[in-house]
Parts: sequence; structure tokens; C-alpha cells
Amino acid sequence: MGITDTLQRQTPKETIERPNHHRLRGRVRVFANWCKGCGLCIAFCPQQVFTQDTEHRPVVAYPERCVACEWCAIHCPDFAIVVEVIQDTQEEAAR
Amino acid sequence: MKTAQEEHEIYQYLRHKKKFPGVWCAGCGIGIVLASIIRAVDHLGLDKDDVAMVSGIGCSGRMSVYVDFNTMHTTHGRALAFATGLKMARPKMHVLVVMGDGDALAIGGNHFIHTARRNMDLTAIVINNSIYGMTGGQYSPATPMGALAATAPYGTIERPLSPCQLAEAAGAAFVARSTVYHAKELEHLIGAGMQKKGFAMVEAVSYCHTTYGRMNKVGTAVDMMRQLKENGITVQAAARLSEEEKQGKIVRGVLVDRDLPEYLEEYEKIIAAAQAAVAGAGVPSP
Amino acid sequence: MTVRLVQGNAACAEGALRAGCRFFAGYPITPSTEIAEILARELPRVGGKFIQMEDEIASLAAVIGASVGGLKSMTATSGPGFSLMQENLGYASAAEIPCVIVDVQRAGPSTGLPTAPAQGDVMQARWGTHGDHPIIALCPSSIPETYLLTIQAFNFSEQYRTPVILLMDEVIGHMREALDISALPIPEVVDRPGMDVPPEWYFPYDETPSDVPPLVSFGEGFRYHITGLIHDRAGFPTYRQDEINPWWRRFFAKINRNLDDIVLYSTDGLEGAAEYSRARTVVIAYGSTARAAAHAVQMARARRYKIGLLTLKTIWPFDEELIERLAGGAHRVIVPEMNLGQLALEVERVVGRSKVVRVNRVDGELIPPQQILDAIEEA
Repeated sequence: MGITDTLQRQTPKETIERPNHHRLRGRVRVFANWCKGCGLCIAFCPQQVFTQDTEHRPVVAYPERCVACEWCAIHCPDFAIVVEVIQDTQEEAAR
Repeated sequence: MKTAQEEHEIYQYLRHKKKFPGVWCAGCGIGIVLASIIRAVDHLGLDKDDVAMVSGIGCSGRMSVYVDFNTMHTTHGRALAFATGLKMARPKMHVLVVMGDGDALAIGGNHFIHTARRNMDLTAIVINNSIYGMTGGQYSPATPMGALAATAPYGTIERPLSPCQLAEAAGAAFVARSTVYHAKELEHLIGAGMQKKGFAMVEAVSYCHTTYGRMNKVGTAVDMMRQLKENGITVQAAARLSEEEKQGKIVRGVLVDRDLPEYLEEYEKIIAAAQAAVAGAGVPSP
Repeated sequence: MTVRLVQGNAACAEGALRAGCRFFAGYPITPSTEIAEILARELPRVGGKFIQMEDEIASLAAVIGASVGGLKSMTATSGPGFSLMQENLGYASAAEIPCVIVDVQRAGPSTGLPTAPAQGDVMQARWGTHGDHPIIALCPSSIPETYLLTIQAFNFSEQYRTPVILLMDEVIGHMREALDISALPIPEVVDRPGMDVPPEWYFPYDETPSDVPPLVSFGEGFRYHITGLIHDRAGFPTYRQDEINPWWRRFFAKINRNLDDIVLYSTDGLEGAAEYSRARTVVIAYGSTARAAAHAVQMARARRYKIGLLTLKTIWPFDEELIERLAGGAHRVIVPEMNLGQLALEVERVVGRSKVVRVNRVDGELIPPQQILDAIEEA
């Protein structure tokens, strides 16, 4: 097993411990009825998870690429995207 | 299977009876600031009843109706004055004041200066898109010199004002800046501002692709967001640059953090002294 | 029994404290500044708060904010400051936030005669802010009345969820007169009612039988939205005609349906049908002018004139039925005012221009009783 990077972020509410971030994955959901098709999520996703439909709205075309950076969810001006962080340990990856 | 509303706390902070999506143009940064504010409040673990949002007039001012706090959408430029009264009546309430650059610096300039000077425990968030967006793209006190605007068809000939410099000069205890690209940093700065005892001003640099972007041929919301990414530099990085190199850059981070007497604390001392004098003299209250 | 010689501005400040006022925000302006100075000293003593804001616009804004936060709040100013306050006054009116605005009138327009009395803001009190809106404006003509009407102003503001203007003038503000609070018929103080429904059932602008939806202060567990935009019953902005028109109806009805309660006045020589039919001349006066009018009416009676006096304590709303009833049958209606005819416009509208005799003065001097008597004799 390699070195596990641990990012400890302390907030007044809780401490989040994340294992090596390369092993994080996310499940992306887009709420089409709130999405205005601004294209920010599509343009800035570092993993190019999205393609766009005929109304410029994001389509989660490559969900397996998502590393749960949450850029899309944090930057969606209309609260139309949520990213569920899926813990993905090295053991699971080895399976 | 849970709905998004149940899974993600952020939706608990939106008014369920309001129509979504919000009134802003597709790609506008104001919604991003709203999300940053909500995350900041959520991280502080505050009760929604203990939070108020007072907003001004303009696209930024339309934020307050969407969020499930005690909200007031007030008159143009006067949000800080309304917030002053509310805070004096409810000292324990966390009062956020959301304004645009025109609302805060032009018509609201006087109130901006004096609210900062008083150092009352309020958190002001100035969303600076360097234009009057709501009314169609007239220039604001933050519009860069030479830019085209609806009331500057030949380009502006006025030098812009920096809300951060103004807040610092007026005596604010905490001054910070970030951009809607750096939304997580923005969230942390807002949280820090809320925790700071005294007047905190956070400038959230955004853009208006619909008016400014179109008139000055800057591009789409994506293009303007990319510019924020490319031009945003930290305070530390800025310290290593010359004035020339800093041209066009947006300096992000905490710019001012000082400890100064907070207005309401000082006023409580006045109340204590006045009441002690009354008790001592045996004067009956009216 | 404690009789004190009290200045009008001081009586106003005392009345405010008695009514439960615990917040004042203001800006110095002659001839109102004493109200601010007294409250700067007295409010902290009772655990209240005073703040001098950077201008009158901010003053009224802070008053509205503090009222929303749960404190009975007041500001005091004069003509130039009153002009500055108009936008936020409209906000308080449209958003239905209780507050009291004292305007100690001085001669205008513009900087005018800062230390001289006038009654030139009467129409401004009614129409100073843009758009249609109802308003309540009270006008004392003595120091005891100043004390009482200040309390009444707070009561009306809470009862009807409206800003209330207290129109004083420089003479009432600065003169001193005997005040014995223990001998006054002090009205019961009206406080903001609570709400006993679950918060999600609370609509801050709901249709209610009284036309006045209960106001709950911020921080009490009811989170809602306040805006100057035309709004629905939840306080959210709307452009729907089927939400806007009912709002207009309620907005005006809450005042217009309650004239019996709101319109305060006193009469002399107009009570009873027999008396009324004998009053060939009716004098309608308000503020410090009413003092001279009372004296003039006495002098006229001594000369066998059939004359009655109506002293208005509520200037707005203007009760047309009341004026028609008390003065409609008179041969002449005399309206003395320290302006060029403002209340007279309303009286003329109701009883007819040919009946109304204006007695005006705008040079900074009070209208003396003789000037009113001359008008009575010529009429």
C-alpha cells in the first residue's frame, strides 16, 4: 500500500478525513428544471465528466471520471448540481 | 432513496416556497456567492432564526428573497443603515448585508463609510461586477476607466473606486476579497468575517457577461469566469510583484484584520453607566 | 400633583418613552434637535438605544430596521430632513413597518427660516413619498397634547402597521407650558401582538378581518421576507394582478375603515344639532395656529358672532364626512394656517371654494388672534 495522504480540514462542526484524493469518486446529479444551461460546469470540470445537450445543459456522460472535486456543485449558480462523495479506498480499487 | 433536499444540507437554507431557479441570468456569479454564504453559515452551525440578510437594490439585492433567514430587501444604497437599526435592536443576530458595487459605493457610499467607521458587528458582502446590471449596464464607481457602458458610450472617464481600500480607510476591522471562481475561499472569508467582532467587508468579485461583457466584447460567462481564475492572485503572491505586474490582477485573501472597539460593546457600557447613574441618584425612570 | 414647565420637544421625548420607545436614530436639525439630545441621554437609562446617523436617510432606515427587530422606534427632523426621508417613509408604508417620524416644521422651502415656525409640510406629509399610499399624521397644539399625541402616534403605528408622522412646528417645539402628566388621560399603550400559529403558517401580509396582519419581529422564530417591491401575502415580490389588487384594497382599507378611531379632533361651539345650526362661521385650525384661533373665536363670540371652532389633531387622513357634517352648513369656513393654503385645499374640496376664507402667514411669525378675528369680521 502506498502512502496515504490525509487532508484534515477542521471546521467548527466536524473534522473530515479524506484518504488519498485520487481514490475519491463522486456521483453527479443534475436537476434539469433548475439548470439554465450556463455551461460553467461543462467548461470547468477538470475531468470532462460532462457533455452538453441541445439546450446547453450538462449531461453526465462520463460519471466514472468524476473525482468529487465538487467544482460543479460549488460553482453552479442555480443549485442545480449535487455531488455525492463516494469513498473509494485502495482495497475497493484492488477488488 | 433520499431526495437531494434531504441529502444535501444546502437546500435546507433555500426558501421552499420560492420559485427556483433564481432571477439572475444564466452563468451569473451572484448565485455562487449565495451558495458560498450558505455554506459559511452552515459551517458555523448557526440557527436560521439567528441570521438576517439585509440586501440593497440591484441584481445582488435580489438574493435575500431566496434564503431562509430573516430577510429584508431595502431601498437603494441604504441596506447598511437598515442593518444598523436591526443589529442595535437584535445584537445577538448575525446580520449579513448584501450589496452590489453601485448600491454600496455610489448611492450607498456615505453609509458604507460610516458603518465601517462605527465598526458595528455586521458582515457586508459587496458583489462587485463593475457595472449596474439590473438597469441595463450603466457604469458604476467600480467600472474600469475607458470601459464602455450604457451611459458611457464613448468610454468612462472616471477612475474606479476600490471597496476594499474604502472600507480600510473608513476603519473596518476586517476586509477581504475573493472571486466567484474561488468560491471555496470566498466561503471561508465570509465565515471569517462573520466570526470577526466588528465590521467585516468581503468583496466578492464577479462579472456581468450580459451587459459589461457584451458591450466590452469580453465574452461569455465562461470566458469571464476564466479571467477571474487567471487574474486572481493571493496577497502573498501580490507582495512579490511590482505595481506594473499587478495591473489587472485581483488580489485575494484577507487584506485587513485588526482589533478595534466594537460599537455595540461600547454602547452597552454607556447603558450600564447611564443605568448606574440613575440607580445611584434614585431618579425614577419615566 | 406635579406641574412642570416643559418644552414641547421635551414633552415629545417623554411621551415617546412612556409609549415604550426604545430606539431613536436621528440627525441634528433645528428646531427638532432637542428631541434627539434628550433621548440620547434618557434612552440608555431605560436600556434603550440612541444613535446619531450620518444623515436623515440613514436615520429613518435605522428606525425601520430597529422596528423590524422589535423595538418601538422614532426619529425627529424638520423640513429639509423630512424631504430626505420620503423614500424610506414610502418603504415603511408599503412594507407596513410601524415607526414614528416627528417633523417639527420650520419655514420653507429649502433652508427657509430655520428658527421660525410654519405649517408648510402638511401636503408633504400626505404626498411627500411617491406612489399612492395612506398615511396618518397627528398635530398637537399644546404641550400636554404633544405628550399625548406622541403616545397616540406609537399606538396607531403598531395598531395599523404604518409609519405615523407627528407634525409639530417650531413654536410648539420650543415653547414651554405647564405639563402635569398625572392629570392627563393617557391612552393605554398598544404593543405588538404575538403570533400563535406554527411559523410555517405565518404570512406577514395576510388578508385578515381587521385588514392589519399581525407583525412578528425578526428573531422570534418566524422567518419571512420584507421588501419594498409590491408583494404577495408571504412578502415575496409579485406582478400578478390577482395578488396586487387585493393588496391595494387592504393597504387603504386598514386606514380608511378606521377613521372613527384615527381621526382625533376637538370642537367648540359645534356640539349638538342646535348649536351647529347656529354656527354661521366655522374656524378649522391645527397646531400652534389653533391656539390663536381659539382666542379669536372667544373674541368673536364676545362680539355676538355665531361661531364654532374645529381643532384637528389628526391632519391625515382627512375625514370628509366629518368636515361636511361640522362645517358643510356654515356660511363661511375660515382656515388659518402658516402656509399659503394647504389644509384649505382639502376643506375647499369638501365644502366648496366659495365658502372658504384662507388666513395665511408665511413670514416666520405666528398668526395673531387679531388676524383671524379680522377675517371672521370680514366674512
